[in-house]
This record gives sequence, C-alpha cells and structure tokens, in this order.
Amino acid sequence: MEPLLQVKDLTVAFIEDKRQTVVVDAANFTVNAGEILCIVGESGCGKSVTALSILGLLSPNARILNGQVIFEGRDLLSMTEKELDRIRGNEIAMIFQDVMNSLNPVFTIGNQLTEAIRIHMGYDKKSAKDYAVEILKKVGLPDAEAVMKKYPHMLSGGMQQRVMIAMALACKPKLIIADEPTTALDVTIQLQIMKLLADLQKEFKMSMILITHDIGLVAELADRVIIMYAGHFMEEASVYQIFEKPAHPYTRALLKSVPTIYGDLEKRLPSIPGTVPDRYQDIEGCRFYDRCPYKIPSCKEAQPYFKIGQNHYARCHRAGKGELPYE
Amino acid sequence: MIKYIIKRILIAIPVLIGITILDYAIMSLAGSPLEMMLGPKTTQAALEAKAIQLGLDKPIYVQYYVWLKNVLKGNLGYSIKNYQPVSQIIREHLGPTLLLMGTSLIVGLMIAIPLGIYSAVHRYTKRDYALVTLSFLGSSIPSFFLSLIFIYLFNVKLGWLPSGGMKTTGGDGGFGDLVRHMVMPVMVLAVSIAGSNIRYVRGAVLEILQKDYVRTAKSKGIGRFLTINKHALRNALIPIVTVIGMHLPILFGGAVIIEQIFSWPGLGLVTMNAIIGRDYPVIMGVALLTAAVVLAANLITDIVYALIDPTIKYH
Amino acid sequence: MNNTDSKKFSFNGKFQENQHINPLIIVEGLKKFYPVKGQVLGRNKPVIHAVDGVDLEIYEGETLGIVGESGCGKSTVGRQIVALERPTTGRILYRGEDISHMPVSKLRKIRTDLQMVFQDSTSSLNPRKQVYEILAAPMLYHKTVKKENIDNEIDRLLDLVGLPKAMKYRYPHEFSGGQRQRIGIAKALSLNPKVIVCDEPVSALDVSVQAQILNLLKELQEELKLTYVFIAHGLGAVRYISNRIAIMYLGRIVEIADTKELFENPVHPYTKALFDASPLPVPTLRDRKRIILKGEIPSAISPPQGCRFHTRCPYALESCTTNDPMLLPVKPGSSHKVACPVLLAKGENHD
Repeated sequence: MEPLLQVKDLTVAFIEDKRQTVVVDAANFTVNAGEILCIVGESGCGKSVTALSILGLLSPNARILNGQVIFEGRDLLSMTEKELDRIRGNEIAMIFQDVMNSLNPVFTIGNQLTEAIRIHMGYDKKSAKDYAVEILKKVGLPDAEAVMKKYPHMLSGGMQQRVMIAMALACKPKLIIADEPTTALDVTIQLQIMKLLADLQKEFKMSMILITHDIGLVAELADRVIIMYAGHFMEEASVYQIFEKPAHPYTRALLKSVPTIYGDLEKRLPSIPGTVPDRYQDIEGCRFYDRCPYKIPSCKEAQPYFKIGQNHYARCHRAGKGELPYE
Repeated sequence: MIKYIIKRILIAIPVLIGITILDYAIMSLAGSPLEMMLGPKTTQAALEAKAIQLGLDKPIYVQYYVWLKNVLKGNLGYSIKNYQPVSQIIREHLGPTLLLMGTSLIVGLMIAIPLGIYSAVHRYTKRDYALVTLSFLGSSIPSFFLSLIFIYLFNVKLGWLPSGGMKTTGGDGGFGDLVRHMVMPVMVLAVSIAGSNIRYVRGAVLEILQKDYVRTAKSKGIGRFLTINKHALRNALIPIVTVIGMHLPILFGGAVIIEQIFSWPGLGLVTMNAIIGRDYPVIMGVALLTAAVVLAANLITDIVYALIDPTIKYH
Repeated sequence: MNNTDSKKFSFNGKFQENQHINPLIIVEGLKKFYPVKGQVLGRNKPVIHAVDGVDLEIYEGETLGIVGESGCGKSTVGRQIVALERPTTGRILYRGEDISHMPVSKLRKIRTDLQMVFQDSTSSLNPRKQVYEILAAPMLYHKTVKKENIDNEIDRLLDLVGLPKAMKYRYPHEFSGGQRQRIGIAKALSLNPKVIVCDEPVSALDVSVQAQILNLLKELQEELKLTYVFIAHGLGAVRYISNRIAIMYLGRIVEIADTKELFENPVHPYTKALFDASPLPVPTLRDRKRIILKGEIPSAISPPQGCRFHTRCPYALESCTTNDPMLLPVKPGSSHKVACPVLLAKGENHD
C-alpha cells in the first residue's frame, strides 16, 4: 500500500546574521494511512521544525535546503502557496502547542471555526455554522452554540485545545500533525484530550504525526515511533519494539532516565551526562558520541541507519552489529 | 461600560480645571499683555486705566477666578487685541483648521497603513528598505522646506495650483476651488504624517506577524490575503488606533507653519499671534479647547479599544 | 559529583526516627486568599481561594512532596513556608516560632534558613548580572560571609552543583536550561539553609536533564543535611525524590501518606484519577481501565460546596454536596490520611 506521506532527505536550516545552522539533517520517514507516528525528542532536536516544514509554516529565517515531502503523489515543497492552501486545513491539518496564543484573540470561536469550512467545503454561512456546532459537540464541548459566540480568552486551556482540534478536524483531513498538543495542560485534562484524539483518529480514519517529548504519551498513543536527537533520526520502530527492545543507546538512556510511578523506589535514576551539543551540524559521525556509554573510536565515522529487526532501524553501528545486548 | 464612561467624564472635570490653573499660571509668567501695548506715546495713567479696564490690576489668582467664573457661564471673554469674543474667534478659525488637518490625517493614514503593511510583509526586501528610507525622508524634511518647494513647483513653475489662502480672491469659491487650494498644504502635511506612521504601522504589523495565531490561520489554508488582512490587521489595529488617538489633539491645534506659509485661516496662526501678544483670553480659550480635546480623544480611544479588542474589560 | 548506587541516603532515611521528635515546620490552618483584580467596589469582593485550610508537619531531613494540578494551591503553600507572603489566616511555625506573624527585622535572620528554588530560572535570575554577582548578592546582604571569602564560597557553591568555576563571569542566557537551574540551586544554597522549597524545579527541563537535577538535589540533601518541600505536578519526579507526598485539590489536601504507601494504596478518588491520568511508558497497558475525570477544574473563586471534588468524582454521593470532608487516617494511628468519608468507609468494610 502506498504510504500517505513520504518525507525524503528533508534538510532545514536557520539563517541568522548570515550564519546557517542546520537543525534537521536529511530526515527520511513515511506515514501510512490510519497510523499514528510519534516523533520524540528533547528541545532543540528539530522535531517541531520537521513538522512545520511539511505544511510550509516555517518562520521567514528558515530555509529548506533539500528534500521532498510527497503527499498523494505530489511534492508539497515544490508547490505554490496557492496550491498548498488547498491542502492546508483541508487534507493536512495542524494542531499547535501553545493553544492560548494559537487562537486569534479578537475573533469569536465561531468565526475562526467556520472560516476554513466555508473556504474548503464551500458551505454557505448558515450551513457552515451548523456544521461547526456539530464538530464542537463531537470534540466534547457540550454547550456548543454558546461556545461559538465566545472569544478564546473566555475558555479554559482544555476547552481551547478542543476548539483547536475541532478546527483541525472540520474539513476531515487525511493527516493531522499535532505539535505537543497536551504539554501545557493539566494531567487530568491531558488524559481527556489524549482519549479524544485517539477516538477521533479511529473514527475519522486519519493518520497522525504526534510530536512530543513525553515518553508516556508515546506509549499510550503511538503505532510507530521515531527518536530524534540533534537533527538526526536515531531510532525508528513500532511502539512495542521501542519500549521492549530499544536498540540505540540514546533511546535506552532516555527511557531509563524518566522517573515512573511504578517499579523499585530505591533505585537511583540513571541520567544522561552532559547536554545536547550546540552546533551539532559540525559534528562528525555520531552526534550522541560525547554522552554515550558505549562509544568507541569508530563511532566518529558517519552513521547510517542500521537494520535491527522487522521495520526497526537505529543509527548506531554497534547496535546494528548486535554488540549491545539488552539487559 | 456606561458607568465607566460616566466615571471618566466626571474625573475629566477636575483635571480640566487643574490644567487651566497651570496654564494660567505659566501664561502669566511670560508677562503682562500690557507690556505689548506700550508705545512711545503711552502714558502711565493710560496704562493703569487700561489695566483696570481689563482687570489686569488684580492679582493672578483673582484674574483666574474671574475667568473661570465667566467660562462656567459660557463666556470665554474678549480678545485684548481686537475685542472680538474669544468664542467667535475660535469658531471662525476652527473650521478651516479641522478641514485641513482632518484631510491631511486621512490622506496620510491612507498612505501609511497599506504601505506599512506591505513593508512588513516584505520585510528585508529591497522594496521594504526603499519604503523605510522614504518614510524617514518624509518625516525628516522640514515642512516649511517642502512647502516652499511645492509652491515653487506647482505654482510658480507649473501654475497649476494657487499659492495660498482658502479660496481665490474675488472668485465664486465652490468645492473645486477649495480643493485646489487644499492640495499643497495637505500634501505637505500628509507626507510628514505618512512618514512617521509607515514605520510605526510596519513595526506593529511585524510584531503581529510573529504571533502564533497568524501561523494557525496560515495552516488552515485560508490564503495569504485573509491571513494578513483579516487575522493580522485586526490585531495591528490596536496600536494603530493608539496613534490616531494621539494625533487627534493635533487636529485641533493646527500646524502653525503650514498655516502661515499657505495663508490658511486656521487656529494655529491665531494662537501663535495670541501668544506673542500675550492675549490672555484667547490663549486660555485655546488652552481650554485643547485640553478638552485631549481628554476626549483619550476617552474615545479607550472606547474604541474596548470595541476592537474583546479581551479588554473596563469595570 | 560522582556517586554510586550503593550510597545510601542515610540522612534522609533518618527522618523516620525524627517523626517522634518535634517537626521542623508546622503549618496550621493555613488559608491564603487573593483578591480578584479589578473588583474594588462592591461588598462581597470575590477572592481566589488559593489555599483554604491546610495543616502540615514537616520533619527534619525528609522530603515532603506536594502534588496537584493548576489552582490547587501548592505553589502558594510553598511561598507561605518560606515567608515570601503572609497567610490570610493560620500560621507557620519554624522550630516552634511563628514566622508568619514575625516582625520583618526578626524574620530577616530566619530567612537564611528557608530558601526557594523556582521553576523558571530564566525569569528568576537577573539577566543583567553575571553568575558571580547573582551568587554573591544574598551572602553580602545577609553578611553571612566576609567579603574576602566570597570568592572561595562561590567556587565551592559552583562545585557543589556541578558547574565549572570558569563560568562564574557568564550571564544567565549563556547557559542551558539545566545549567540555569543549577545556578538557581546554588543561589538557594549560598545562605546555608536548613529547608529548601523547590517549586516545580524540573518541570521546564528536558527529560534527560530532569534526571540530572533530581539526582543532584538528592545528593545535596544527603551532603548538606537539607529538608525539602518538593512541589510538582509530575508524579514520577515527586515519587522519586519524596518520602511523603501530599495531594492537593482546589486549596485543600485530599490525601497524604508515605510515598510507598500512597502508590500502593491510593484511596482518594482524585489521587486515583491522577495516577490513572499519568501516561505510563508501557504500551501494552494502554487499554487498561482507568478513571477519566469529566469536566474542568472548577474555579478557585467559587469552589464547589461540600467536598470540592464532588463535581468530578465518580463516587460522589448526595452527602458529598453538603459535607466538607476532613483529613482522617485510613486506620487508627496511621500516617496515611484521606479526606473522603465515602471511600474511607468502603475501606473499613473490607477489613
């Protein structure tokens, strides 16, 4: 089956004062119909930039140096703005992290919701309104008619996020890109939103790219997982493989360093020494080298993806050769 | 909201009175109008008689009190120079000033806002740099200099436009005539207004363009036009309204230099002459008017904010 | 700072014995209300009931964790403990003395004992001051260290928190988030405190850095014999570092117990919902049964009548809308206390 989205060799850089910093380095991945792909990483690894590149939403000082984003046979990166506008909000929609600032404060919810509906689905004013109310009910806002007349600042964070989801879903897109959709929310609200997203994804038969740094969230929602570090994809596998048999040293260290609410209380929490390198584009070979407990001199050569198992890859030659047994 | 407006108006009254007290005090520091009337033949007796007639022999605070009492009765006094009622002087000259300044403000903003938006959207391109440079020029060129250039070009050389006044002497007047007389002064003023505001609008729009909700709008595929002119502009209106609010009092004050060069019968010139001549009643009349206008402009601006921006609440 | 797993946290472990000794800090009937902005006129001025009746005992050497979601009042409690604010009613006793009503001059000397580490070190460190100045300022103000010794002190502090001494002339923005947090900790340590209240110290940090800071805090506690109040909304972090944990909801404590006991036997419905809501990094358990709370967290301006949690509680009864529950032990004499008569009764029936 043809994948829904194919990202090939995506390379993105930021330009500041004539200096170019590459933040996403030759990213390759696919998203299949109906699946949830999680891109996991810490701040600065480039995961948000990857997501924003797909719909051409990068800030003016960003440059896409190379790559293709193939959606339904066409390369999104080579489309004109007009062509892209037909896809945005319509075939591919996005949910952003900072909900409070992602909704326009001077327009009502109804106004912002019906906008895309009228443009992409061609409804007239009345039908668009009715449809919008239905979508709001679908995302769990009971007092939908009242919400339509409200302004964003009158709603709580959880409700705002539901509105955001409603806006994204309205035109029944094939793919939703969610950039840290629950990070700013309380834990109990986060659970509500998570369940909502999961249920709607199944009902509408959508694919989802979920960007997050929360390992727990990944375990709850993902079908497949990509671990990103310093602009590189370090590991790619099904969610079960990632948690049961993590291959890459970074993945392993990351999973071990998260304090959990079960398990042995007395054990010390293993942490990854050091910090993410600054200008990682200049590093030769493996970018995790300085912090890796398994490093050997040959790690300083270029590290392509090695096959670990069925649909399981890691950018680590030692893992690829089976030199890193599971504990 | 109504309560808020009433509260503001009630507070405005003591503020106005306070301003006029300050004005009167500062004005009297400049000296008495009597000194301006001194001629080689003026006798001391005549001077003292005049002083009594005008009430200038009394101490300052009494003078002020008398003035205030009259104002509250609706009487702004009489010009020391030509004995005309101050209210009449203001009435006669306010119209032309409002006309000139109002038109200039509208034209200036009609230039500044679209150009400012264009500049912000095309940030760092050559077009942007060109516009910013032009706007610097516009706000830096002294208005008298530009006026003289225009007069030279359009009146002396090309003969298209009259060099001054509000209507052609001896002519029938009429709308077309008025327009022809207005073109140059309005152009000069509009250039200056546009000059400073292009950069201001550009800055306001630039800041809005960075906001997350503009990115959300773009992500919905509603198109560039709507994204900028609906989502961004509506929010950029708030700082723009601030600027307009700040300009409103200037509308009433008039541009003295322009009025002088183009012989425009406006309030600016009148005020200038009154100050030079220490014509207390006229000065105070204009001061009162200006203060009232500033307070009103602030209130109107605040009301407009509340209308544009739903996150603002006044209690 | 090199540490092996075998090092036992013996100082921290001692607090169990200390429980029979007087607590270091006693929080009694703490209430803190904030006026709602803009409402100056009118008789019944609306207030935010940030903390509405909290009693706590904190023992020397322990780490007390306080967990809750937005509006629960945990940060407010923290601020009262270090006397950053004064309570509306109630009192805070430190070593038996009431610090909440103490005159400022007397309080000044005690302040060095009670310090705080903040969540967002980006905004709590003066961006225009070098690290050196930031660390020196409190010591100079309180005159705890002689001028000629400041240099050595700063070096010692930087060493304690694992920052290279060479960086003391840099500015905060030149550091990473984790390093800034270390600076914040060093600043708190500079006055040789006895108690440190950590207000969400790791929430804004990357996952891999969180573990570093948590470990650092644990080591420092052992080395410097500190007592911690650890305020967070992340259960995993709180569980790792705390000996006892209090769960707060809308200004009240709903459950408090030793860490192990709390996670093995949570009683209060909110506690259970909170645990259920924390995402588990075990994909095979994703379809497990769990409580999903309905609705939003109510406003702290007009909290629900009776039990504050009843509007979202799956076990709520009629009586819950009128009766305000008290914190009661699950078994007589137990240190595990719950504010829920419904589930306490159920527990008793099972015995």
